[in-house]
Amino acid sequence: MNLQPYEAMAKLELTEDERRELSGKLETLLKAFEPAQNIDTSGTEPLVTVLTEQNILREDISMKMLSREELLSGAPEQYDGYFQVPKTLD
Amino acid sequence: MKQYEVVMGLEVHVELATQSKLFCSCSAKFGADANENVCPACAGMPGMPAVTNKRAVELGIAAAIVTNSEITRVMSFDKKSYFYPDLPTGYQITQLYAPICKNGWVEIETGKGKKKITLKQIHIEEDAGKLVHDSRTGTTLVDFNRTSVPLVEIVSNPDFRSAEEVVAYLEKLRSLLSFAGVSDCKMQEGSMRCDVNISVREYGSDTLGTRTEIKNMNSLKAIAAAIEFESGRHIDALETGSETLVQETRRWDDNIGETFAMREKENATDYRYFPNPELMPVVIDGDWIERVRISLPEPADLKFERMTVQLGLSEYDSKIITGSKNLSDIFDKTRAHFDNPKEIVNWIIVELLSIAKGDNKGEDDISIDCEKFAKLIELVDGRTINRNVGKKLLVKVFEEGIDPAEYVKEKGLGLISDTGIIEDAIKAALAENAKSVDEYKNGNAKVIGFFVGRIMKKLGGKADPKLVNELLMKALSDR
Amino acid sequence: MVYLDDSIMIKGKPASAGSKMLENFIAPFDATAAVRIKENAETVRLGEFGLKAPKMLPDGPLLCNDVFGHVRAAATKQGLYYIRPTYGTVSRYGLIPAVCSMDQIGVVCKDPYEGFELLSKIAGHDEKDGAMFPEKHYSYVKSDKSPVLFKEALPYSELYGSVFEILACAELSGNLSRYDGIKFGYRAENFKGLDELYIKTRTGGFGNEVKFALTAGCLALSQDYYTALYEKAMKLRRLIKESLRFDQYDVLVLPVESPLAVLAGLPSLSFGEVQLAAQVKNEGALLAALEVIA
Repeated sequence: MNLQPYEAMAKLELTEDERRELSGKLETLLKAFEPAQNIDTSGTEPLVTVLTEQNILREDISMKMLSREELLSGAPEQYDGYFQVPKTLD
Repeated sequence: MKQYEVVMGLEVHVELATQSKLFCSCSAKFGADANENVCPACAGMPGMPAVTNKRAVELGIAAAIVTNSEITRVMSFDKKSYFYPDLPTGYQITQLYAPICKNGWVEIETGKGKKKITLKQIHIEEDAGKLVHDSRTGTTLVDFNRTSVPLVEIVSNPDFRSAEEVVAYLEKLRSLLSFAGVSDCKMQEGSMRCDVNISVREYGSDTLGTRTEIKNMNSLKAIAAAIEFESGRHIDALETGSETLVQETRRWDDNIGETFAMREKENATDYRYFPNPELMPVVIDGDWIERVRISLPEPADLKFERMTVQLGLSEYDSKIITGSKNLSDIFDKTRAHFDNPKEIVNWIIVELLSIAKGDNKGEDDISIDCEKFAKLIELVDGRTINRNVGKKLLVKVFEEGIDPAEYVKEKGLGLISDTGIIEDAIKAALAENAKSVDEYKNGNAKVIGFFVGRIMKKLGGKADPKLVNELLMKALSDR
Repeated sequence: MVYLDDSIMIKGKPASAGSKMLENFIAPFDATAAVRIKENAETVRLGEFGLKAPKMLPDGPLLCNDVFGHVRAAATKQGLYYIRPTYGTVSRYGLIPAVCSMDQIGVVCKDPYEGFELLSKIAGHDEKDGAMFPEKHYSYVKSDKSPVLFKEALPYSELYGSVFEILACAELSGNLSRYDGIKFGYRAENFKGLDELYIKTRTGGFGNEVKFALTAGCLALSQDYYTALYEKAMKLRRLIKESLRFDQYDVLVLPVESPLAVLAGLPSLSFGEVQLAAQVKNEGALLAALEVIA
């Protein structure tokens, strides 16, 4: 199994050993899931959450929770009130 | 040479006019210092479940109503995943599977007549943060103030055939949405943004050409120019084979006046959309839609009709006022304090707009205390001050927010309306210039102007010229 | 004295979810559950995002979010009880999320009555959590009816594990995308450019179990596999939930490792080698069943 596209999506880089191990695990998972493909689910709606409540909404009231100093206090790098990252391409 | 047809579809992002963000309670206001309107949730920190802003849903319903769309009974949110510094959670909450509405339409009018632009769908989503490229440090700085500000994305079908149609559509959307209170639709501030999907085909062909998406235009002018450039590039490629068109996203550079391909990655991302299990579906029933419909303010076209038919204002003036939600609001609010529509429209169009223009402000950016504005118009209309003084005071109301009535009293700018004082001045002027009185009696009417000048000088220019004239004529005829 | 898994935040204290990725993250606010216990609390580090077995559980009552089953397995091995209340009854405000559709604070305890008492303090609606039942309070009273137990194989049971794993890994991959070395927490030291910052930070900050789960999750959500894996698993989740017949029995007796209760949002009580699962909001049946079995 070529896992690189999925590592790239997850922004991870596995070692060859890890890839072998995960491939094995994924093959086991896919095999265990195989019987599912024989179950007709064409009329079944996906179940996203088991909670059946609806319209859990909040009133439009604004509040300040953190000062900028608190917000940035754990930032690995910051500059002039901003979080700082290497130059992006565009 | 072959004839070509440009085919375009639009994706318009409009920031919703809420107080707070879509899934947290931070302020959604534009213009704060970097990272001042940010909480753990919209900074991507763990632990704060998303809770949907009810007002955002209501403004979404309003957008659906004014675009004649079919509202989804049970709408839901999905996650769209990608890594970028402006997206602190690594996913954007948007609507893919059950957007708030579908199949709307908007009617536009161009030189070629009326046309219906059909809409595929409108969905609610959260905005991304802002990246600032910093030349001092050679790094990119990240500001999350805009992160999670609610948006609607209005996706049209590929119904556009010219830049003129695109501009007419955007102006129509701006009018519909701003009058409904959905958004202030300011392109310069980014509360209305537009991406254009464009392709070119030979006239009469029913297959679409290679499509590119153009981004980063922040004015109607830039949009028209970008369409002009990009369609030209497509036609050149088809005509001369100078380049091979590829499906890609391109960025408009307003300074250079060209589009440039964005980095490859932007074009090949697997966004891994999936339903967001953290947010419950939202049921939009008929009652709710009706409540929103009833609460919608008057749209521009109805307001125009009311101004011209009921208030008897000119079509020209009414068009200017209803061309901007802000001017229209200023008109209404001022009228609430002084009900003289004709004068108010005059003052807005002739005076207020030119003052604002001098201040580099567009019609949507003017802000004035309408009660004071009304008072000022009333002072001129009631002849307490003359029009010229009024114009000068308006600048002070606009820039400094002075109270015109008090200012007039304090500085003694009010016109002298006490006829006794004026009559004394007339008497004195006539007595000092007996020779001119004789000239008048001998039929020289020109001396009237001379007398008025003398009298006004004595009164420090604060008398109503019309009243002075009347009283002077009376005094002369009595002699 | 109550112990909290340190994925339940106490303002000003480190909250790591057991991960190097969050090792210097200080909780910026209090979790609702932490506020509601109104008792001295001490945080403990468990396995990274619940994906790794904890070494040793404290002997006092412990609040934690056990989605993947490692805590309940460790608890029952140590002779402790593990209670997981109905999904959507305890606020997740201040809980570091792992799998949103399954995250649920539960309790490890020496005595199930003590555990239920603690839960009765923290359960109940919180407007800061957008996915909860509306009830303000829950009291966990033993059902006086003797419960009907069901121990046989259920339909689809051979698929419980794979359905659970597909859904849990996929959701986890979404929730853990926020850890990127930009806003807080761990950042790798040597990197060239943004992409390397992401990759080195995440590769160095997450343990193997998490990296495997995230890669598998991205696979399940990718265009290549979405329909065959993720969507199919969501559909099966519905079939699994609908296959339960609580009109015919009160309590399911399941192996400790079964993910059924987590998948279906059922309240469950684990001890020894069994896990009891009841109908949604019928935790009382669990205590009654417990007495029958014990």
